[in-house]
This record gives sequence, C-alpha cells and structure tokens, in this order.
Amino acid sequence: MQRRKFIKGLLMGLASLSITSKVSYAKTYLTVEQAQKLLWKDARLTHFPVKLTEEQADKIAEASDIRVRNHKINAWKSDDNGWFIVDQVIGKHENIDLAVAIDNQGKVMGLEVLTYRETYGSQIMHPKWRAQFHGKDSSEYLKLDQQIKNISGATLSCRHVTDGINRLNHTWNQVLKVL
Amino acid sequence: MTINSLQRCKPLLGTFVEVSLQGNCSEQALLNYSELAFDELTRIHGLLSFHDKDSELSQINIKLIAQPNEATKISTELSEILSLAQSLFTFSRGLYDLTIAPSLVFNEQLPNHLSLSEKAYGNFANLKFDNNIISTTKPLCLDLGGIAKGYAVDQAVKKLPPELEISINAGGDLYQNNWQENSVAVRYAKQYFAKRNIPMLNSALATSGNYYRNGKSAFIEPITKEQKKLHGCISVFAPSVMLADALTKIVLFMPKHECRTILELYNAQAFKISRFGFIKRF
Repeated sequence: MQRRKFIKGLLMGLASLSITSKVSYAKTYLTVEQAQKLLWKDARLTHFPVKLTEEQADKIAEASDIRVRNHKINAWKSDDNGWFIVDQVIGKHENIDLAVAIDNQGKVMGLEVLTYRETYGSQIMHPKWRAQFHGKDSSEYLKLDQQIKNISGATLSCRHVTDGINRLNHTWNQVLKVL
Repeated sequence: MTINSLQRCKPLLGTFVEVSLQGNCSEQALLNYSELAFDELTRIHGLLSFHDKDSELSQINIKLIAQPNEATKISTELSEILSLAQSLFTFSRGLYDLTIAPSLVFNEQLPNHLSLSEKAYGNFANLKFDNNIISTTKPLCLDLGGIAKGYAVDQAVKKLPPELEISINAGGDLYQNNWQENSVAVRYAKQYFAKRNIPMLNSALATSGNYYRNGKSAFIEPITKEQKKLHGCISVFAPSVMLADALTKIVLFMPKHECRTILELYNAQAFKISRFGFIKRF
C-alpha cells in the first residue's frame, strides 16, 4: 500500500513538473501601434499582408541562407513605399516578435523587439506550442510573465535576430520592392 | 501629471538590450529619453565592437598588430576602459587581460576578420598608453568583450535624467538607479526555471556564465591560455556596470582569498551560483 502511495506521489510530482515546463518566461515591450509610431512617426500606414509563393520563399532562403518558416508576411506599407513588418524570429531558446521598418530603398530604418518569449528545449520548435501565440494581442502574454522584473544571466547572442533581419532584407529585395 | 512607464528592447551589443524607464512625465518624453539611451549604446557599439570590422577597436587592433611601436591616438571612451583594465591587470597579477583576443579567435569564440595567425602575441604588460595615445612593444590584439557592454550601459545611463526610475539590462549586465529594496533573478543555467532571486546590493550587477555556449568556454585564463570551465554562473554587484562586468572575470580566475581584497577595494560583492542553484558568497 505504502509503495503504491509512493508511486502515485512520484507520478503526480512528475506530472506537475511537466505542467510547469509549459510555462515560459515572456516579456512584452511596445505594442504594434507604438512601434509604428516610433519607427514611422506620422506617416500613414496601410495594412498590406503579403503571401509568399513557394518559389519566392525558396529564392529568399537561397539568397539569405536562412529558412523561410512563415510564408505570410504581416506588413504595412507607407505612402512613399516604405514598409513596416511584424515578424517572428525563432532561436534556440527564444521566440521573438520583431518590428522592422524598411524604407523605399530597402534600408532598415529601425527595429524593435515587441515580445520576447523564452523556453527551453523542443517546445519552441513545436508548431502547436507556437500556434498558441499567433494572432493574439501582445497584452495577452503578460499573464505568462512570472513577475520577475529583471533577469541577469550569461549573455545570450542575438544572432538569430540578425539572421531574421537579413532574411527580411532579401524579402524586400525579391518581393516587396516591386509591390 | 501621472507616472508613466516604458519598456523597450533592441538587439544591440551582440545581445538584447532592454531599457525600462518610469517617471513623472509624458509617454512621448519617455520614448525620447529611451531613444537617447539607445543612440548612445549604438554609438559605443560602433566604437568598441570586435565583431564590427569598421569599429575603432578593429582599426586600432590592425595597427597594434601591423605597426606595434607606432603611437596611435585613441578615443576617450577606449582610454577610460583601458585605464580600468590596466588597474585590474596589475591587481590581478595578469589574470585580467584584454589582450586575450587571439586565443578567443583560435577557440572560435570571436571572428577572425583580422586574419590572425597562430604565433605568440604580447599581453597587457606590453601595452603603453598615456592619456589618448597608445602603443605596444609586441604585436597584440584587444577584445573588450568582458568590459565594454558594462561601459556602454554606464554611458547610456549618463544620458538620462536621474529623477527617472532607470533600469538597463544588456544581456545580463544590469543597472538600476533605485536598486534599494529591489530584487533580481539570476539565471545560473540555461533552463528557464534555473533562476535564483537575490536582493540587489548595489546599482550594478553583471553575470558571467557559459551555459549558452554549447560546451565551448568563452573564458580563457590569460597566463596559461587554458579554457576555464564554469558550471553555473558568477555574479558581481558593484557601483558601476563596467566594474561589475570586469570583476566577474577576476572572480572566475583568481583564488577566493585574493579576489576578496580586490572586491573590497572596489566596494563590490560577488556570488557564485552552482549549476544546481547553490549560492556561495565571496
């Protein structure tokens, strides 16, 4: 009997661990509107979602040497052909929503991290885990935040973001330039 | 007027830099202040980055390798960093040395855009500098990876009015002006739950760890040139972020009883957190 109790307790303990591992650290910064205002000042922006074809995605991947995960580009266009893009970058441990402003010459005018989510292991690559964040208002992530204001730790490289910007540069060059 | 707050994050200094401001002013004013801070961080990144071929540091490194004996003018920023590095080099008997760059390049922790070849390079003792003039008796190469992030944060803070509540976190190098009664989470392993909450003991905190490096060590002992293993992390509280950032390396390499003297000298406190989360104070 004791043994059964022990095994039950052990299993429950393990189950609770697996539940907590679903909780991630998330932090929100600017909203999409705030980022638009900051990067494009008072310029009028029109929502201009773009869907890449297989061929275009392949070309971008080839030119930038970075896989194109999402063929849908959540973009806004300014009156003078500049772009404001909200994109997602998936690193080893982090999943980042990024806002990028590209002018009509293809130059990156500025970028902002909108949401920074962090987890460990395979969850981040798991489409189901990522799907829970799609199309949600960034304020919804706040409840995930574990009320820890600041974390000091070993320096995490931002290389994935640099790669993401490179991919968007090539996206502009291949697709957005002529739209 | 109401109290407004703002949090922004940008990829800068090779990592993520987060600027949080709170104060009795409009949201637009906070945005403008955050722009000032990010502009300063970008400027210093442009001066002192090893990865950027066009930075002042890269240009000076080229000269220190090609024409070592020739005197070269350096910026005030670099000069400020080198004077602290020189004191730390002396106090640590050579264990804090910014000329470790070639070893880091050969260890694939830094890019080799200066085309360094495997030969003997000089160390900080060969470096001569007086105010803004630098020269060396042996070819050498500087990397400010263990100090410049902290310096950049300190400089960005100077651009902001002190009446604001300021917090800048550059990949673990943290500054808070109202640090009293605040606590901070220190991450000692890469798992998201591997955090220890500790009270802030000073306005600056820096943490060094190896857990994002996939087994390769970014810490090379300057004298023996051996990789130093670090399981867990080392955190240092100090009056400035530059100092905290630099002192983490001293704590890593020096024997405990010796680094205590240096920590006391700079009014700093150090902790080591093991990979299982046990805290040891120095």
